[in-house]
Amino acid sequence: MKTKTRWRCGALGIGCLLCGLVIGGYAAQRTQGPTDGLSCQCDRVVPVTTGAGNDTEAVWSPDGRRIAFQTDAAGDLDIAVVDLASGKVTTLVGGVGQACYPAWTQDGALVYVFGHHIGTATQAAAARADCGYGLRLWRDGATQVLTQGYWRDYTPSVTPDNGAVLYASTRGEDGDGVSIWRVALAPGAAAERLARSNGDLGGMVQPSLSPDGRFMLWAQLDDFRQNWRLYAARATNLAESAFLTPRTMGAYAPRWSPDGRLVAFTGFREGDPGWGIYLLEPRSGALSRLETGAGQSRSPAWSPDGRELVFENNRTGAYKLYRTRVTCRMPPPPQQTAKASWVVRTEARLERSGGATELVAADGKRLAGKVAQGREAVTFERPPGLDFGTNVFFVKMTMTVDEPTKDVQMAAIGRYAEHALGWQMYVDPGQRIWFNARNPQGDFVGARSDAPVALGRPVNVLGIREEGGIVRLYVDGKLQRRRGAGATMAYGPALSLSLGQWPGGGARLNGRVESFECGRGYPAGVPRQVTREQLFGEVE
Amino acid sequence: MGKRFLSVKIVGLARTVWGLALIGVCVLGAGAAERFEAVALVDSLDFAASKDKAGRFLFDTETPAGNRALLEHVLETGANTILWRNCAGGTMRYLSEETRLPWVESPLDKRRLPDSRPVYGWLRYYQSEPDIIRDIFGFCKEKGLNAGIHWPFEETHWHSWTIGPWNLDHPQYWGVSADGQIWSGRCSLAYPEVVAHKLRLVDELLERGMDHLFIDTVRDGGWSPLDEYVRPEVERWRRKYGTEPPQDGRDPRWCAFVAETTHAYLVALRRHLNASGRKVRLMLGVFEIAPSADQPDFMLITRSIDWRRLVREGVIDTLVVMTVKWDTARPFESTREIYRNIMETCGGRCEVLFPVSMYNFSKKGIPSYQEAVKLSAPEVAEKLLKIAWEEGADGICMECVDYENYSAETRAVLRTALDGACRLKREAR
Repeated sequence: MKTKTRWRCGALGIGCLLCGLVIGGYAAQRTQGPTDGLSCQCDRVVPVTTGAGNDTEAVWSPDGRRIAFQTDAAGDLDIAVVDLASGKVTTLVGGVGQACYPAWTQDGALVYVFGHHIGTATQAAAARADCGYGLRLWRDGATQVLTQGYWRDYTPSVTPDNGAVLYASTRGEDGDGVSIWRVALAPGAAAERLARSNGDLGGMVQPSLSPDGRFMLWAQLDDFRQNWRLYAARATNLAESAFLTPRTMGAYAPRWSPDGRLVAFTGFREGDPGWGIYLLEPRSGALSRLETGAGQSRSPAWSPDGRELVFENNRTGAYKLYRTRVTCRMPPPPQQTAKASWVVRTEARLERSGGATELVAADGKRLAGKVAQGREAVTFERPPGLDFGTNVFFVKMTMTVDEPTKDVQMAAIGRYAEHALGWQMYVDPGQRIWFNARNPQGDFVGARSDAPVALGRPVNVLGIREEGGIVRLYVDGKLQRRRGAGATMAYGPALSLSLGQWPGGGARLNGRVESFECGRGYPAGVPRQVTREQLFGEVE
Repeated sequence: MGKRFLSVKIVGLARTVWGLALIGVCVLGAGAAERFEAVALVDSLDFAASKDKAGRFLFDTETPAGNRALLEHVLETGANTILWRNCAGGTMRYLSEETRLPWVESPLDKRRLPDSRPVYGWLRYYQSEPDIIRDIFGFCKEKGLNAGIHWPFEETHWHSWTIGPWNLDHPQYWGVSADGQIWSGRCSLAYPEVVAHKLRLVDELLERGMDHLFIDTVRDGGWSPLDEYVRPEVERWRRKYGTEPPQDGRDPRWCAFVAETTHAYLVALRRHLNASGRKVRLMLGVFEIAPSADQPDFMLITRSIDWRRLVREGVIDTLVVMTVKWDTARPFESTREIYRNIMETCGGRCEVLFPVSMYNFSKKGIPSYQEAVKLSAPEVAEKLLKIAWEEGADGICMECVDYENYSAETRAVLRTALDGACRLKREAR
């Protein structure tokens, strides 16, 4: 590793000052449109770096005197630091390879990511190389390897107690999944996975703890057809998370403010001129976009006193770093209800007794089913209570599959005016179990079992469609990796419910439905998607 | 056993007779006849994980040697035109200056989820040297082959890592659904900036020597009218009709409306190719073509592309039919009827290629024919080639010519016919 020093902008001197005045002039004292109760203004936007290359992923040092960033000025990515008093830029990690995503420790060292893939993918695979992206710790010119393997560890943050690094990683994944990991800031520490992503289509990136250590925040992509969103959860229970940004917005790169009251992130909403710096009050969900001037503005990071932000912007063609002071008028505290509305209600339950096959509604009323001749398949016409709208609902059943077939085997299907195959639980020709719902256009959104269904024995399956359109599947109590996202169809009254076949017959289940129930909310014992209010307001 | 032997003999004899007959026809009409084209769509990534029996990788697709080796495999089909993929989704497979930044390599852009599959997830075609496209074009020309590009456009129907860097950095041009959801997998052609970006990508290919540009519409992401509720389109609708656009993105009026924008892009592309000063062939892929023009046009409803208008106006040089909606009860007969309709629609205004395709995503490729007619893959391939030739097509298109996807026997059957009976085009009916 080599260290080199560059002078890019003398002491934030005359050149930078003039540049800052020019750029800052039009951006000063402007507030962005609707603010949902949060009103933030940024002051003049002042350049921090100039010159060749793209400078990105800035982070402010704990003492407030320096900003670390990654730069491609020399070709590949290096880690550099700019001294804010002098403007002097020093390359801390240079040379061959990609050195990126710096994160300060509380005592002034830097965690960063390093990767240098030698040769082609085929050569690396043949040689069983471990040349992926791993974490390193830079302290006073010396480097220590924290993690290394043929995977990708990235977007690290150091915990407030300075004891560990949280980061995104593809370790153990075989698709597009990215999960949240933790490794202690100690030599030889073993890494552990804290939360697993959505199968092979989703990922959780840039995790960090709130300054008080109680909440974890990250950016999540639930499916390639979705947008990046910000999620948060209690640090002690990452399985029950809340989304903080709307589905229709792109949001990533979140950073807690030092006092924990705000989150700065990169965001885009339809109608914006491009990527911009957004501020979020997480308890209310109030948003405010900063008017930072021309170009795309991304990846904000707070000064330690919480008064300024540094971010990257490409108004000059390349991405360079800029800083600005920020003032916010906070929204009123959200109205806190004593109890959140956790509606959990079984709306329909299958009962078989004395030769009758009935569906028992929540109010105890019984609906007789039409049993297919000589088979155990049954259809109930116009079952009440299955008008779930866009809310959470579940389908829970026990079924036995005797033999595979080359066709789909339908276990349960709700037929609606909105879509004849509104939601379904079925076994595909490859013997995988699927639970699916629909998006507003009627497209299929499904969760799939990790393995083929076990034959000849009862299997417990549970499908859940959540409020944000996430579709989850549990098999024998275990959450299956492949989930779906975007299933936000609003379901009106059900036209029919069929078990063991399609409504008009066909796609027969080669086996039996042993038990069935479906309803609103989450069945007991299943991790819930919590609301912002439940998460931050401590409401159960 | 004996029965099977007899069957094979009969099939062999029939092939020979058919071959001799066609040779006769070809020789008689050889005066003005042109070479019957056999296009192979080549996706080098699909070869990357192929191994031999000892577990060794067969093709290092980030090297010229690896790509030449896989091309030799492709040429066993008798292909005489190679259309090489220029991208996976929006990530280019050559040293593209237009999409050099933001970084394509994972995890350097944290908005792109990395692919962790062995080999596939670590391929870096965008920085392989020498430049892959330039090298392949050179190699094809050395061998006397037509060399062009298979552009899947924004093939963003599956993985987030396929979403292009230009898209990721230009959210202001992203697609928007009727319910207001934005999506990075699509930048709308309703924005002049997006059209300009696409044309700059074409310039990069022209500079590398591209003579044939095949625009693929099968791969989803880039074409659906569902995501075209962008500001310029919505405002244009309001100006034209004085109402809000239909909220159903598959409403035929909306699809036809969006198709005007798609059409304008393809016209601009045509002009751009013409302005290059070279003769560059523009080829358009269409699929799920219905038996009759009276039936709803799948291309219009799902891709907002009016291919008949493009043919009528002479915008495209070649119509590449990827699949047709043949009848499972009359597979070959219905295929032939649809081909005949297409030839009639095109009326000689453009070349027409018909599929001999192992690609079976829409259940209309060779494997589905096999299931319907209970013939082997070589037999189906030969039959489809024969129908295409007999109906006066200009050639065939082979999709998914991956490693051993077309078996050795299928490759041999195709090559024999393409070098013999179907070497030259049959005169149009």
